[in-house]
Amino acid sequence: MSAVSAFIKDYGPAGAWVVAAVGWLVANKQANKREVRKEVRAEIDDIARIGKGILTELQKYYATDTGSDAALLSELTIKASFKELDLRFDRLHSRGLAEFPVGGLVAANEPREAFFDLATGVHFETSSRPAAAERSNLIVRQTNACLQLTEALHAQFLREFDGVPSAHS
Amino acid sequence: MSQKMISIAHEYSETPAGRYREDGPFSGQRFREELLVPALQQNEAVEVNLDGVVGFGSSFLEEAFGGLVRAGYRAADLRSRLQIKTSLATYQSRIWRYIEDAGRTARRTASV
Repeated sequence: MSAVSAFIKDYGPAGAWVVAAVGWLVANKQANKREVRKEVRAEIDDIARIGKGILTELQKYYATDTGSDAALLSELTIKASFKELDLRFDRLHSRGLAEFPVGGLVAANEPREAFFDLATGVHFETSSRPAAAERSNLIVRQTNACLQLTEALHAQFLREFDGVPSAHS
Repeated sequence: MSQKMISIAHEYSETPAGRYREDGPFSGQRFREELLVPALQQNEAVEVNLDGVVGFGSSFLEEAFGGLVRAGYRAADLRSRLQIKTSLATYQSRIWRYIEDAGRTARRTASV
């Protein structure tokens, strides 16, 4: 008994400091995680906003005459927007998060690449415009790919921060 | 070992656009035929720098790089001879996707 009281007497004040330090570390880690969560959420919201902007610009683009100033401006806007989108993705994947691995395969990759190919391939920057039926079909596929991209990112976000299991697991 | 460096923004255009020559003056086909293929023919290794360009469309990238496979280069050889330098990691993986896809298409066509 006397050994215990001697131990408390010797190390009691230090123990209080250790408890305080551990408490601070835990609170700090939780605050950091909240901050990262907020930043990733903002990044995903930005990606969704840029994606919607691209869809709007694509509709304007299809209404322009090929080779016109309006068409060239629209093409530039779309390509620059995709570059901005890619930049956000690279930033998202450089945070060392399990659901957003560097160069890793993630659910959002497929719709993301499909969106890019559908938007800036096929008739993009050519001397032809798709006929009405083909244009409608193309817009539907582009919109779908953009929505799937946003959905996949939200799902990755929930898995990363809220522990929501994958639909496939 | 000789190595050639090509900066698309400095040596070609800051706004490359389109797939074929008829799509514009800075198309993917023209870039491949006038800069990329000659560089690969004359050098062991070629480094293409993508920085400084406003943005790329898939039609330009696919024709410029995927088109190398259709022009007779093997994807595996390109892996060891072609280097893509860019501050955006996405462009790199995208270009290799186009090269690999073109390789797969070529193999499928050959086996039919």
